[in-house]
Amino acid sequence: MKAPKSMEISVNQLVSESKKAICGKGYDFGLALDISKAFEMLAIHDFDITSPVIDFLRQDEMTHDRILTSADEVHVKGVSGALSVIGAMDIFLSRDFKKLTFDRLQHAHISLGLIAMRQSSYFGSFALSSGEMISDLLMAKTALPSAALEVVKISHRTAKQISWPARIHIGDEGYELLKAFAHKTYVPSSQASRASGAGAGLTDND
Amino acid sequence: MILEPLQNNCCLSESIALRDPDDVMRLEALGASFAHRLSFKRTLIRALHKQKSKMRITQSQLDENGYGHMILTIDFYGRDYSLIAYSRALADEDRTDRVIATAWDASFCLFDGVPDEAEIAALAEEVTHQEAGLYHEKILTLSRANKSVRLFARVVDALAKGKQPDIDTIAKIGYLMRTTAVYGNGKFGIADRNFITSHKGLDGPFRAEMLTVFLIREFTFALVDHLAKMQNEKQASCLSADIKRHLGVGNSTGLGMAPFLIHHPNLLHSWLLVRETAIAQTRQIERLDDGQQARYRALAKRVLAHLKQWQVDDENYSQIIKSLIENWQALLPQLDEMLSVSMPFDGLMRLATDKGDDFAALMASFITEYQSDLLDELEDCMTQAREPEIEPAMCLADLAKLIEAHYQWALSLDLSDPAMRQQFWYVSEEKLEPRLGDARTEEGQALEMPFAMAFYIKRLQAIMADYAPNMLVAELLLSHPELRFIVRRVQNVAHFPYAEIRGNLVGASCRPIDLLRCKLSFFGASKFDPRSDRWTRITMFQGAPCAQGLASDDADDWSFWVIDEPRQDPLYESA
Repeated sequence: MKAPKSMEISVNQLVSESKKAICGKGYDFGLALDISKAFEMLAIHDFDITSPVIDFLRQDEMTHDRILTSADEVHVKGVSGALSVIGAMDIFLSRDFKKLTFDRLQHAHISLGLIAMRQSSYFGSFALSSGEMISDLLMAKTALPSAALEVVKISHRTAKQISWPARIHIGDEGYELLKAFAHKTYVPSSQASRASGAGAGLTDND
Repeated sequence: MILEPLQNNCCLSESIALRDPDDVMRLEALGASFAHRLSFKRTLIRALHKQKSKMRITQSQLDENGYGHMILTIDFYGRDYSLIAYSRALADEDRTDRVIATAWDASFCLFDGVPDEAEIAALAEEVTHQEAGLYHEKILTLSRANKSVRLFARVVDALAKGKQPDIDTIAKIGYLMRTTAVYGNGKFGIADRNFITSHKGLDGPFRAEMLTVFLIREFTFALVDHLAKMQNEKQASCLSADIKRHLGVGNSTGLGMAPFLIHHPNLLHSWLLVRETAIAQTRQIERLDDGQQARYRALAKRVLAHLKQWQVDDENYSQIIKSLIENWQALLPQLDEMLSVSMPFDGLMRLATDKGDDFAALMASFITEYQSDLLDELEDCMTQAREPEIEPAMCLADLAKLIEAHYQWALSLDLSDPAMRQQFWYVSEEKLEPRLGDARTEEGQALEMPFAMAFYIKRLQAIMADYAPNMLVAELLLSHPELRFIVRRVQNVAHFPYAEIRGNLVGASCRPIDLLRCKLSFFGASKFDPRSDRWTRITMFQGAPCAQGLASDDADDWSFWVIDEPRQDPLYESA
């Protein structure tokens, strides 16, 4: 079997194309910031992000049934897409909850990125109730289990510093899909926009 | 107002009185900005001077028409960086400074190290096609430039006749080539900024881009020397060191600069916080000794001469410059007295502030110029790693207070007036050029970039009114995820008060050039020459020492550069 083609890009290429692509899929810009950051988190830890990108852009977003809270716990019922994970993390961090439970995740990889990136503002760390630290999962390039996931807060920081990668890899199909969705955010050119939209006339030579 | 400037900034530990962000961040105030001693071109030249950097031409393969390539290599913090310059024939009809151009007189990349023959050959096809090329992490920046139609050939002709070019023409134009873009930070696959920051010396903001432009300037000098020699080998002169210093690199700047300021609010905050801290610290200086007073008196004369040489076609800018000249002339007779009293710079800033944004901005640049010992450490605070984050535990009552505290400018607008949303910012599918559209006549507003902050604030307020004040932000966002963008900005500005521009960027009266000038002033641009309210020409590095002069004692004394000014030591100049 022929190996799928892949290409090397910069992290910024991934993030900027992702932001536009996520908006092109219909998400608000504020959500696109979070989800593209999750892609970045995965990419700089050397995950193969091709499948996460393709799955996210091709699949319809699944929304949780409801979010239940008790004194100690946030429980997200149903299947959580990216939006649900973002919202559930907000709730989890808004009070002194000890545990966050997801019945099922739609995007195991992206969810790992979304959870990991919140550690910087939490000033602590997250772990699975089984004891594995979220940052260790990232370092080991291991996705979250997609079912019956329990996240707990750890009061101390464990995030490890990684050196910024020179390149990241993404399959051609994933990158082309990013560009195709990003393209949906561009305004078609017209004579009027060409002539006056940039404010310089057509040449501005001296 | 008193701010605690503790947001990550290492050397900003004291509580000092800074100017109010609500005033500083107005579009009109931002649009009056001048370059200053902490501008990035200045900090680069100081770093090159301290490092005793030396530039060498490691390869020159130019033909009799100046086409081919040249490699200019400079050592910086023990590492070599090379500008690979490809020079090509360009038909007049293909020459445009717009982003939509597909060919240029010269194309460049900044290469990490010294490229070998294979790398030079492989990159030729990519770099000459700029955005359409494929790049790797050894490419730190990407740029292109066109020759000045008015000046380039005239300089070559003069040199070929064994003469130096006419100083008046040099003064009027100020550059041999004009860049039309300088790309960095991972664009088109070049190295990410976060990767480059591990290279000592390139960790400051836009440092790799500034180094690129500095080396492009050197390339333009080498190219005119080469062409003159090709025309008349026996008689040709080389461009003199004096003339070189009067020449910078031109740049055409369009709307592409503006979105950066919106998308990087905390970086914007850092830059402004540093500038404002520099102003505040300078204002606190109690007394100037005789030598310092003499130095500032000499600089004041230079400022006036510089203003008189800043000539533009734009009527509005011509009026502004005229007014600056009048105000500065009126100041000069009082200057001796004002410099000799207690708190001299505070007095000068008070006087200038009363005369409006432009004079205040000019004065801020003037008073901070010779405060190296006091201010230069601040340049280490101009980066920003923290990005805006959601604070989900905040209750809506507190969020409402933040809106009241930081968005009065938005709340005071009558958004029912259609003129308030007459413009929209978008990315054109044509080479992804950022553009501004008129909502009354053009399609595409549905795809606008998220710059309508006043409208988002009003909508947020309206939605918040339906919920209890003790509701948490997390709960609001669960019901309204579309508010995430504006909630994050509101929460962020409480920590980073200079992060938000206080102006309606989509209103009919918005002048994008104000945003461009703000950013360009931090780059160190001078002689803004607007071609419209959304496009300006500028000059970079005019007055900077050229590569051979980096070690000179006056390598850092080139603000408010004046063409043909006698270079006396201002310390000994009589008042």
